[in-house]
Amino acid sequence: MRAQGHPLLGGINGFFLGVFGALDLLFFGVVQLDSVLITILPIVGIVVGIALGYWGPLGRSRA
Amino acid sequence: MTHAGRGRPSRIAETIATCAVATLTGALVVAVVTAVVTAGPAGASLTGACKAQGTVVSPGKPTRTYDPKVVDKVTVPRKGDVHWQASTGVKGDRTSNGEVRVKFPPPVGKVVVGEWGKNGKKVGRPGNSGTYHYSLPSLIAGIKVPVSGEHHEPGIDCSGAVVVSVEGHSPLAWVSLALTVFTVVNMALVMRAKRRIRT
Repeated sequence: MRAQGHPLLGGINGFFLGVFGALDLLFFGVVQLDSVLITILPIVGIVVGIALGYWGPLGRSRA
Repeated sequence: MTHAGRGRPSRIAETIATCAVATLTGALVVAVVTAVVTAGPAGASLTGACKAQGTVVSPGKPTRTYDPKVVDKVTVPRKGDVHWQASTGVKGDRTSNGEVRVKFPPPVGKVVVGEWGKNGKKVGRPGNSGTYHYSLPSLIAGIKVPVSGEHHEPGIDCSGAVVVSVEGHSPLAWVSLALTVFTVVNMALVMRAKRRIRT
């Protein structure tokens, strides 16, 4: 089964999305500095990014 | 090479709908996880026989006095003076020790930012007081920093915790928000299917 999209780029982008999402929550006072979300979100971002990159749902041709 | 479906209005609508669903799903997951993870008990923070009080004085700001027996969240100006006092009410030479810690996210954990009495030196006074001048960078404004501390001496064990935040918002918050939007848009590009060349 071949990847439809870009899983490697998805993982890298997902990591940064998780990092910046966690920083948003921190800087806007949604979570405290000791929140486990700050650690978890970048990891979740990598997993979700790889999955979405592998799936590649956008722009598929209707063959 | 085929260009099947390219340029059709239904394709654009499908793309927008997929992005909207992905964004809403992500926002819902973050909101639920945040609510679950950050839910916790609130209440007084200083336990034991210790008494403490701090008065924050900052130019142009109202003077505020905090008692950690009843307050567990404090928002302070970026710079100012804290007139503090603390006591156990016990007289006579005795050993005492304690420390103040800041909690960071795992795997860093607690970091000791101040300690006393670790050298075993005896103290005779029942309390202590002083004035501490501070000036914090605007970059950390708005961050909720959990600070905890404890004090031990024969027959007395006190511990306390307070969440401190600096007034205002950090300029890094807006940079981070812009980079979040950028990475969300970039994620939509990453989700695009690879072009296939058909023979």
